[in-house]
Amino acid sequence: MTTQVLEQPTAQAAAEPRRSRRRNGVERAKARAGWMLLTPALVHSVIFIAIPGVMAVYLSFTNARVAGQGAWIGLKNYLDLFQDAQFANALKNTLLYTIAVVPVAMALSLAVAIGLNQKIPGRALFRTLFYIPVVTSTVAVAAVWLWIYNPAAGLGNQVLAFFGLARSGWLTDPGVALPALMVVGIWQGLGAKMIIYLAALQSISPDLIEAATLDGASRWQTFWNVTWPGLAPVHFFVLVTSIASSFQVFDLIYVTTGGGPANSTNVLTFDIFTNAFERLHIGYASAETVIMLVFVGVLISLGRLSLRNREDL
Amino acid sequence: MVKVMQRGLKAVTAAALTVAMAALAGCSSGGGDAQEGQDPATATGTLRVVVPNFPADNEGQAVFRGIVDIFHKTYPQMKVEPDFVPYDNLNEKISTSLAAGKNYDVVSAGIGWVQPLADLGAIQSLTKLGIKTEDLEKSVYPAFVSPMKYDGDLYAVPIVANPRLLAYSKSAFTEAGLDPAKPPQSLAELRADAKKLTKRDAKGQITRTGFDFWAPASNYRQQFVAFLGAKGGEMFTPDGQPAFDSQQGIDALQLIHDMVAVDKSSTYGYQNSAKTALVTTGEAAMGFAGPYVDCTTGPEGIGAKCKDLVYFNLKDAKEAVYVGGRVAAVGDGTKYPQAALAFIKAMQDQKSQEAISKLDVGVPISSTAGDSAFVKSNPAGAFAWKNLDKAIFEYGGATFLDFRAKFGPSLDEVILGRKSPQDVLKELDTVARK
Repeated sequence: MTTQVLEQPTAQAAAEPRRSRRRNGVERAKARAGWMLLTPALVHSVIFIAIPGVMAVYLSFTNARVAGQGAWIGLKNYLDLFQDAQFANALKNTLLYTIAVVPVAMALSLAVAIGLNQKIPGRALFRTLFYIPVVTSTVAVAAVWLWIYNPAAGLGNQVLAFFGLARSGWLTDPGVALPALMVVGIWQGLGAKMIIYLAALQSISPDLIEAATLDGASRWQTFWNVTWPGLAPVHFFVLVTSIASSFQVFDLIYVTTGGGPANSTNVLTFDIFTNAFERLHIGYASAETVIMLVFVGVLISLGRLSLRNREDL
Repeated sequence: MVKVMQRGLKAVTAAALTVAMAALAGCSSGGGDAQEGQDPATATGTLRVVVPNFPADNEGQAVFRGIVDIFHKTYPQMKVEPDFVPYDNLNEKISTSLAAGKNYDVVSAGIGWVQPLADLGAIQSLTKLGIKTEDLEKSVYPAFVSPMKYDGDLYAVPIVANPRLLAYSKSAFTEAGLDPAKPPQSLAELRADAKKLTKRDAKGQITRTGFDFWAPASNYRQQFVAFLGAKGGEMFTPDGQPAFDSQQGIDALQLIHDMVAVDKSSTYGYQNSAKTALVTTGEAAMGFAGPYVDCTTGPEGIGAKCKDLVYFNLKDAKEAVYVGGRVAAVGDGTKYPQAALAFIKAMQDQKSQEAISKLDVGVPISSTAGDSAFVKSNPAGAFAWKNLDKAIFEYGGATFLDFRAKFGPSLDEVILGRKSPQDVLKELDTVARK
């Protein structure tokens, strides 16, 4: 008995490392497979994200006019940037554009998604129509809006004339140009956000809606207490991607206004482009890029914080 | 966050990648296996050429093929690899190619690019390649030689000139009660005539522009330089020091503001869909125009309107015409400097100059072009060519591209009444002196 008692744990102890080794072998094989599957993405990320990212940070401390040249100048680019009125203006325009476009586009796309989640005739057609601007090249979109905003023969001024209003210099009036481009930004980004919200709305259990309705909740109460909380993770995703895309608005500005008139539509990405490729100051432009990344990070963190607080409540 | 970084880094990724490309590409230039110095008839290799403003349509390609055909008479076995870019993307192409260690063998650019590109090390001294300033002075309008020089050496040769002429419609003058034989001479007369020539509807909206600046928003640079020249001022002194922050500069800029914002005889930034000069299409009674006008009755031509147009110079304090232009230079570090020179010579050929003039809305620059049928047959070109000696340029020193990026948007501030000419010119002066 004693022997048996003594031998049993010994056998178990001998079997355990074998199982453990087998388990470890399986885990290692899984890990290897995981790394193999990850490798293409990692290589891509290192070459196209990490190296350029590190290079941008490095260049921001140099006086390079083109990449690969230049001497180390420490924080001079950053100090110059904080005294650069054009940079301050570009930052202000970018923040204004983001503050106007992101919430309005999110609200509108949610409203459209709710509408298109109902059983209405031609629903598939409407969904397609709303999504078309997303798959259309921004250059093509900008060309259409250039016609709409044409001061002489554009649709915008024809509409104003129809209501007896004075013609507007949509893209040539410094007070109107940025809001005019905000409208394009909202319109163009609507489809992508709408499709995400639509998917999220369809993932909310109909049972919850039905239960709320049976409990006597109004449509607004159902939306606010059932649908809205169900959309919380999606809000964060849409917010992050919207902030990122509004900070990188470039092609629209490049095609329509070139940052003008009087720098009224000059945004950060366009200013970076100007400094890098028109003025040939890639070091300075890199410092601007680093600052832009910091701003995007801060805005996204604030967004995340606000959603956390909401969840805590 | 990685995704966000990916998006945010987009603006510099291309530039940063060129550094990695440099490691891969080494410091080679061009391609193929040509050995410079061997007989041009048997030389092989690929000559990389960057040319702005050559349209990608059949017409643009045909002009380039014509230049290549001339080049191939000397270098029949050498390949030519063109890179067609708009002027707005020229710096991007040059800077990324430099960063990648694959500089172009031939660089075509605007006059203002010569000194900055020489300073940057993108183009090389033609003097060191045996091109003499005296020879260039004999072959082109002498006024165009000075902008081709940097640190005493010749770095580029001019190909075509792009003056901004002034023109008016005789019939519009008559209709407005002005003497069609008497063009405005001073800037004050120009402003007064423009007011009279402007036609409006009952709501006060312009139906015919009085004076067309032929400029998109943020791009009134050349027009300012033209008025500055007429006032007797200059942009930069011969030694490259900024000179535009002067009373003449203030007057010139104030005039543009007054015509656009006070008189409203011109709509700020307005251009027709073809971006042609409004005075040549009849949409304006007077304004800036190019030196090439098609007088045929075809779809591109303006037909009988040609006879209604009169070209003139302002003679306020000085008779001056704004002139820009296209130049060609040999890329620094090229393996084929002699072939590059041969290609530039092909661009300078009279046939090439005429063909490029049509594309660029320009006029040939060679000293004998005035007698050519091409110039004589074109009233705008003939007038422009005769007046190239009154040229005032915009270029100015090694920091010109830096200055140029801020020049146009800064002028907007005055034209739109947000700042005074004094303040803006002072700010620009500081930028130009950096």
